[in-house]
Amino acid sequence: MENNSQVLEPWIESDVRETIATMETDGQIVGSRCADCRLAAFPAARVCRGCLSLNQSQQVLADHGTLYSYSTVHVASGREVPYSVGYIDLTDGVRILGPLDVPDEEIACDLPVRLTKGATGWAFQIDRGQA
Amino acid sequence: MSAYVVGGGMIRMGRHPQSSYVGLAAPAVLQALESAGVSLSEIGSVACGHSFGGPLVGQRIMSRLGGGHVPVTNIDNACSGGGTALRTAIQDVESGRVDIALAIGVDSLTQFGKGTLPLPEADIETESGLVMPALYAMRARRFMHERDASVSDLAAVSVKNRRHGSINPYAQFTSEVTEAQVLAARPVADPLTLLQCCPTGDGAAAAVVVSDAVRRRLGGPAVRVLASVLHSGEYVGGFRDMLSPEISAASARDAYEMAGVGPEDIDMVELHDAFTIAELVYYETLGLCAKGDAVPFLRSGGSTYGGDVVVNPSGGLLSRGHPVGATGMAQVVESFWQLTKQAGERQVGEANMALTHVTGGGIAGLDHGACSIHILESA
Repeated sequence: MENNSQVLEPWIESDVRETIATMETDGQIVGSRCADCRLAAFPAARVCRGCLSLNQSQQVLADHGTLYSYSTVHVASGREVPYSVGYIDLTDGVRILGPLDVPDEEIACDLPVRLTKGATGWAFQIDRGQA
Repeated sequence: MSAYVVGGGMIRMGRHPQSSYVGLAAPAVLQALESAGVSLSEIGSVACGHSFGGPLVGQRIMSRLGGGHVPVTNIDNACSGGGTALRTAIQDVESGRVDIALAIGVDSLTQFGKGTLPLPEADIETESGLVMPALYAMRARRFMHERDASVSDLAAVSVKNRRHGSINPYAQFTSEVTEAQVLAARPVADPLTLLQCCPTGDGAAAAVVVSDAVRRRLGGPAVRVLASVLHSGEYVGGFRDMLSPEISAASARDAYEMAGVGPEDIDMVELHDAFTIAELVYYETLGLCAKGDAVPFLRSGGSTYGGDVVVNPSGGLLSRGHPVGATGMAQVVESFWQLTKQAGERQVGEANMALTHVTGGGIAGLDHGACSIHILESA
């Protein structure tokens, strides 16, 4: 037994920005799902955090879910303020941090939201079909 | 209580600009676990050595693999980060706190482009123009002065280690070089030419450390930890002998005492040849040859296959590369493979005892900031 026949390479990874870019330009939340235990992940996982399986395939995740919490940011380095972000629990079990486009007077925890193209580009808006 | 290394993993060292710290380390961790025959959920603690990965590198790696909950300690100790991570894992096992600990070493230097390592700007010597090659170049200059040695003697270290590395598929450089090529390479810090300096690159290695009870349960290849030593440098304001670095000398003395062995018992050494001169200096400091004999020891083949002790069978930092925090762990994984006869073409025939040595960090008044030495024996 020796270790020279299968020399290990690092994971080649796309930039994490590319994952977010897909959401921002196409309105698609691209993650992965475990072929063995069906656990979904965002960003895409190499190893399933549920069952440690390496059998993961890329998948477009649900574009809607429930707004868990949110904030409008007024001080930040590296991007223009103010902007609003929130944690959205997608219907397939993944929580993601996403941009929000929800009127101040309507924003609240537990709102149903959906990734929608609006005046500010792709952002989570109130899911009127569910509200 | 004894500790054993029962599994190791390492990626090919090189320039991997498309891989994050997680992407570098995760495959090594998975390979280490698989070779040990333990699952991630059995790990009781994690120590992660790195210098330039930013906050919480260990947690980032574990979180992407589905591990967590257990204590994760991130360690910055310059070139000794990997060695210090191993020591932390060993301490966790030896103290009885955990039965199974994971040690990781990882770093990415391609993030800085090329050139010398960033040093702390607040240091007076950095302010005055010190870069690591200059530090070693001054050692080299003094060595040549005191030992009547030549630049060719320095170059012979590169020739030997590049030859060793040429059959190591994990090495960043797998081509041999001639003495003439080394001497003709462009100057980095006179008298050190480019081919006398370790390359910048990325890498990771990981090892699983367990108690005696777990080792017996697993029943696979294992090496016993005979000594695990860490020293910080002692500040000296006046004369300091750069050919006998106090930090490595003290670490070696303590390691031999802890292990109850001497240099003559060691079959292979992975030492910190960040620059050619370092290997010559450390032959003497580690007691592999008599003081003053480094050049004849090298020139007579004493430190290669068939000699007294094979120094840097991996090719060392000069060939395998030196992703700072990864190096200490890469040395240990190389030693684990050697001592468990898994090293393939570069197998050191009678390797039963190995010594690993990392030292580094540039601080005014110190030889180095941290030095870690381990002595391992086939179990």
